[in-house]
Amino acid sequence: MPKLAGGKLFVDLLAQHRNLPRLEYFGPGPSSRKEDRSQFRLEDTSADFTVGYRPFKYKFSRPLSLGVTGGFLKVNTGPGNLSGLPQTADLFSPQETPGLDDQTDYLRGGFFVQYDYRDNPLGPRSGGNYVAKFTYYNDRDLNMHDFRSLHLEAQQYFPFLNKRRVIALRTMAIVSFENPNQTVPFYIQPVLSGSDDLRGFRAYRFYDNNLIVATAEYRWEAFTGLDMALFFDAGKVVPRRSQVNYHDLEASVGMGFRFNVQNSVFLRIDVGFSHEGAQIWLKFENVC
Amino acid sequence: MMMMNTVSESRRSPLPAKVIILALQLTLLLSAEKFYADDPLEEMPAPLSVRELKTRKLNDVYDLFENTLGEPGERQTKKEKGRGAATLIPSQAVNTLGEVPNDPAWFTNRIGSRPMSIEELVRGPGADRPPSTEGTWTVVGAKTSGVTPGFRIRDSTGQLYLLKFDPLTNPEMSTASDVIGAKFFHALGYSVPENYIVNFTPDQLTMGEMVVVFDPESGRDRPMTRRDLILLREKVARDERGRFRAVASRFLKGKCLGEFRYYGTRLDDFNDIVAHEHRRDLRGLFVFSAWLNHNDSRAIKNMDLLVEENGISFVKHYLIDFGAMFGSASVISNTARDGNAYLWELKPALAQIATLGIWSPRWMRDRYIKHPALGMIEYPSFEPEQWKPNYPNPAFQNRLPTDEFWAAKRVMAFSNEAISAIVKEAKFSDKYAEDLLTDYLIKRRDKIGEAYFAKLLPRDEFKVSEGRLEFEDLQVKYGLVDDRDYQVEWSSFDNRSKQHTAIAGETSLRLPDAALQAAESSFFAAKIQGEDENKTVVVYLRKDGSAFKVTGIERSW
Repeated sequence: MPKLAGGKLFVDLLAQHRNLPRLEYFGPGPSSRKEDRSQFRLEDTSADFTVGYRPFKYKFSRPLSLGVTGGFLKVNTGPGNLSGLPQTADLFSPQETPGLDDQTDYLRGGFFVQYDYRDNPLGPRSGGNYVAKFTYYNDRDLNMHDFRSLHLEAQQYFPFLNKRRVIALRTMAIVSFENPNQTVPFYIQPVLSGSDDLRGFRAYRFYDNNLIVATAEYRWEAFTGLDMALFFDAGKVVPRRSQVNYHDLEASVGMGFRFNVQNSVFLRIDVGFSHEGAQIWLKFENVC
Repeated sequence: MMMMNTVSESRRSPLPAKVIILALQLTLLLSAEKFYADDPLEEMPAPLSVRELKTRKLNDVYDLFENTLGEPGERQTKKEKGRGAATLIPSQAVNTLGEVPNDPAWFTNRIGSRPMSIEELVRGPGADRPPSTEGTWTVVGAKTSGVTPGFRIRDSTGQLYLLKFDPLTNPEMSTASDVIGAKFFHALGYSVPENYIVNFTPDQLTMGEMVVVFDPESGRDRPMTRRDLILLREKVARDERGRFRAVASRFLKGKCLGEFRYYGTRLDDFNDIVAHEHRRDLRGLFVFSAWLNHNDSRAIKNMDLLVEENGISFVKHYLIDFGAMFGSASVISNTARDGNAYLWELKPALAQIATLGIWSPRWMRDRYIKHPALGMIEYPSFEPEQWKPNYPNPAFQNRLPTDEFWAAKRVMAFSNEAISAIVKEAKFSDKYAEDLLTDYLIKRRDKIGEAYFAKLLPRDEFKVSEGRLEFEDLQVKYGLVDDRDYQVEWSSFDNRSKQHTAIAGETSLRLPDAALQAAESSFFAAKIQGEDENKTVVVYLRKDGSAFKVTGIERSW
């Protein structure tokens, strides 16, 4: 989208429709069981805008961004299409999995602040990226699922040996503030595990109102075009905000290969291990 | 010139014919002289006129893989364990002194062969034909790939130039490299384009018709508009007055035939008879590239042009595009790897994989100097022998100490003042950058001299004066070692049988009486040896009238 006022102002518009025919769900909370694996279909349509301001230039970029966001989200869930895997609605009740029986539409809006001074966002080797984003979700249909969400994230990269070795640290927390007598529906709850977090677990392994995760990676260049990595992930989901801390975390470890062209990662292969087994991730983009 | 004859398996000659051919060859061989009357050749014979050559575009990626995974061209034999010494393939396209004769197609002797004034060095391939600022420059073409944009422009006189810019992150870096790189390589003897630093505002540019530009958002070509010129402000560096700074590379005259490779010959050019991997001017290019950190010195940066000079149409071989030298990688600053390692090397890669990166090559641990206008440079840890281009180069890999010596002589011929004067042409806005680059080149130059003069006996500049053989010890001349002793042995030399006959008792540089009293066209040889008996220089003298001419030089190491 256009850069305005010499790059100080920016506007982004994003509209999308997704149809995910078999998302996995294991139940709410940190104690959900692997054996309770179920599936559901998620269809959603959203349109969002972002208007931002980058007040100053430092070196060759504008690291600080401030802005507001707004948009709508329309959601529908249904049975998944994978034969042999139980349906979420058959294993869990609407009481333990809010939003299972009825979906709603949202208007949402908020503001954010970001300070991004990574040397190359497509393959960072130095610098950092800090984000705080607050969003208000207004339930337009059911008046049962109003909530506010605060997303905090910090990434920092410590290079050595002329940037051929990097320690990458990342931590993220998503905290939900439900309005009185309201709940956060499961299809919009923070989800933990996947190609970026807790890579030793199946994707979408943990759902709940709040999330905290930390990742540490040691990356080294094997040769031009291939970086390798050892990583350690730890995190958890919790129902209450007071439980957002670094205690009793699930953990996984692993090793990865990052193929890059001109220092921009285009293919990533990670193998993660946890007490629930091993996972292989193939992604055509970089890890955060 | 030695010719190799081959006999096709399918068309074998009858036995009598074979005997006749063999006898003829034997006769020629026996009658061959070591030195001919015109030795040492200073000029190559004029090229034969060629026409109707096809353009051959080299694929960048193919060249990378071919040279990384394979070993194209004829290579030096590797010494096998327990099987004696390797058979070395000496350089070709050299005269009997080991010098490269002037050749309009490839090389012109300049610095190191004759005195060059500072003005001549600074002028380089040309300094008085920048794009005219009398009128606007019409954009007639746009670079459709790459990170930073580039344009083809036509000035008010109708002359074409290629405009290239600096990346936003490194103002002045690649334009400086392009301009002074061309001047250095011109002084070293190669054919290069004229490059000029130009500063201008967007008003200087007007849009030509039917100019197409690649649109990265749509992934397609589209007509270029005035807006693309305005958006240039966001993509390239500008000077402190807000003007664009670019390098204007004057279009070379002739038909572009594509790039020349660092091995083999161009089959449709019958002037191109020496395999490129054996050309001294290409083997020696390693040393020049190491000095200037031209790690992007690959075939894609060369150009063959069909030109006409003195009524002869021939292929002229150019080096072009010097934007990625010193600390510049053209669109970004160099990384620590540049000049220190190939893009892909199996052993270091396996070592780093196996040790989880705990083992690291030396260049990763070195300290580098960073400056926006220079990129990333280093000299404290620069070791010429360890220097590497981006990927293997057949001519570079075939180099021998004699090739390195030939090149190092030229590098050392650049005085501090000459280097400083050429670097000034970069027109850095920061004097510190200018001083830093000058210092960098002086220190690296000295390391070139140290490394390559030590590999053989660096006696050179031979001449006979007042009955004495005179020469320079280049290590002494450049202050690399103190004055030192040497031994001399004289012999008479039979040019036909190639036999030496020792002249007893003659161990000084004074010419032996036998030589002074000898008939015209007699040959004599002086074998000079230093402390290391393996390092010798044999100087051949031919008596021309009452004078003696240095006719040949042979070096062993």
